[in-house]
Amino acid sequence: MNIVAIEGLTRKFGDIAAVDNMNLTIREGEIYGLLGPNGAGKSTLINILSGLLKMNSGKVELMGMDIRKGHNNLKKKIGVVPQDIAIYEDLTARENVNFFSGLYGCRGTELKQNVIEALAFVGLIENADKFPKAFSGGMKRRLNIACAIAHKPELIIMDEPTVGIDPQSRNHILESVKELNRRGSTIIYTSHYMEEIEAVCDRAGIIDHGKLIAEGTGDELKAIVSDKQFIIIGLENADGLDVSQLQEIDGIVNVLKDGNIIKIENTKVINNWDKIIRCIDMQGVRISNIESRTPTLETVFLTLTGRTLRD
Amino acid sequence: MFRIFIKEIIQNFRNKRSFMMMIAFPILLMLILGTVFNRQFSGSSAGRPASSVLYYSETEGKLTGGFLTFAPELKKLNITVRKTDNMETALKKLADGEYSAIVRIDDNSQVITLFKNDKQNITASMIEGLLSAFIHRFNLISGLASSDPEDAGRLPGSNPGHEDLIEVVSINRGERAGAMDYYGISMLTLIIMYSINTGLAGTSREKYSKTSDRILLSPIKPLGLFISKVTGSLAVAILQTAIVIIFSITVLKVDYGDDLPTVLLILLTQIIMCVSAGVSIGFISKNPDTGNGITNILIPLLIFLGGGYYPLERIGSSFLIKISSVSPLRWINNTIFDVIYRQDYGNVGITLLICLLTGGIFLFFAMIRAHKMEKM
Repeated sequence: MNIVAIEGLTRKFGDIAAVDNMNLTIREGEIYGLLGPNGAGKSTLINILSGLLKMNSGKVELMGMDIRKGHNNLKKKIGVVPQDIAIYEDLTARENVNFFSGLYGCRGTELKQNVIEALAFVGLIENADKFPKAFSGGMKRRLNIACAIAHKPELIIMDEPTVGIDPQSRNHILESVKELNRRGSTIIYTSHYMEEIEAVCDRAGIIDHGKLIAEGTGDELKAIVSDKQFIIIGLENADGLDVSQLQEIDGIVNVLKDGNIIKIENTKVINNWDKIIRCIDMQGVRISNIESRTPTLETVFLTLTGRTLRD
Repeated sequence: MFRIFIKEIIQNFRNKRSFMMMIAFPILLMLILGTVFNRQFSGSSAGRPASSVLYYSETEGKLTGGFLTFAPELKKLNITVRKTDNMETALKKLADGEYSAIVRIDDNSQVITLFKNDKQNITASMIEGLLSAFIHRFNLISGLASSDPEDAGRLPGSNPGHEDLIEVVSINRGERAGAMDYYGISMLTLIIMYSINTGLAGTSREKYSKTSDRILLSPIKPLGLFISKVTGSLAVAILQTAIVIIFSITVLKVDYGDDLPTVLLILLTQIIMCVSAGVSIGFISKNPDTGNGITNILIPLLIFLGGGYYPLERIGSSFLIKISSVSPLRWINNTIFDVIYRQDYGNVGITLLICLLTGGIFLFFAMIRAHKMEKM
């Protein structure tokens, strides 16, 4: 069963289409990763799915229900972990979870039990009666998650849930995502960290300029660029380097300059390394290291969009 | 919605700054100002600064005679009544602040005209109230005298020695008006204006902490969120005001008059107006800083025009006094003092209307905004 079914979804802000005629399906029980640079349309899509924004055209069904009809019933089945930490600093962790869970209709003993479970799940039960202002960034992120899952939603949307936290808390959150999925929730997970997407997601979709430009499992996505190789060249000082000269070399598909690092997308079958090195050397720029990388989601993304995720 | 209502109350009572501002600060102000200015308010036997009133009468008829029997009552309030023969000079002296008021009595046309000095508004208003009571009494006696002179003779106040029945309540109330009474009321109404911030903080807090979107992710609709915010902030402001009132009555012995329910009703509508304005400004402005900017200008301006910081009459600008009528605080203060010290209910209706209408206008625009936010 498809838990999310999107057909021809369009949302414009003025003349700009933030989501442009998008089609997407997510199956029940999946962890689906959404990849896209800032401004790609990810947040707009998430806001439409979670009920904060109206669509201009198209059709969106969640759990078989049109989101334009009976939306309140749908909202009870969705939990959203917002990108920004959205908790009250002057309410304790328990009061925060209790409040947000209560908004979804939980009452009495069920509510108390859900709150305890959610706090235990994110590892905050011992800090339940403390105020978040005493929490670390990671603890606040975990409380942010607890507030979204206490009402036991069928669909959980996590928007960059690991931004700005320590590795320990990140691992805890990634494990939590998998555990939530094992407990039966379908999860939409967005992140700038490719390794997170690769680690937790069953499938991922790449969004750019409001369109879904590719989707599949990690292996399926990497297969898109199986005929490519990626050369990463470290330079001592790339200021004087004219990238356009590199782009004229036969076999090179794309060149990206990132500080003193040059990322070259190269056709696998053409051996042109000597020309690349000579081109850089002729411009008086010294190479400090050079390496070839096998395709990753990052390189897939680079190939498809011409940009890195953090652009 | 009930959960948001309860949350508002919890958050406000945990907010030490709000507690200081809305409860401790007004009590402290009442204490300080009430004590510092106590001498000015109680420096005479009549409980108020000495002042003088002139009266002008060409014919010295029955009406003038009646007025003169009333003069000793004014003396009890430390208000001296003197005669003048030159109205023009008298008006000049009034303008110079030498006198609080001039009473012109025309026995032929049976008309009494009162000229007030706006710089001595409290005294002048008291004279106006007493004079009004006197006229009612005089008219009653005159009416009775024309139909049954014997009955008129038996009426208290129609003969020397019975003047004490000329609106005795007003006279006694005036004697008790001390600095603590004045500042008890004026600081209370001043601080209620700051409950605009209580309402605004409720919505700003959600925007700063990004929790408003999170609430709207739940089945709560924008209109529901708005209503919860208004009712929650209203409950908080009422509780805070109630604490200040109880403290001012029991500890500071502030006089709220004989008709406490009417005074409380006026204060309640003021709270409704202020909270509605605060929540609505917060709801309408996209950026919480914009809302704060608006209230940072609006509140002091309304308080200033309402004479909350300093009586405008003493500044002496007729323009300021004219535009001060746009400040609901001015209406509120004047009406409450009228009710307490003159039992004058003439402006109660319009003051309640101003408060409720102003609050209603703010709510209307905020509800339009909430309706627009109903995205799905």
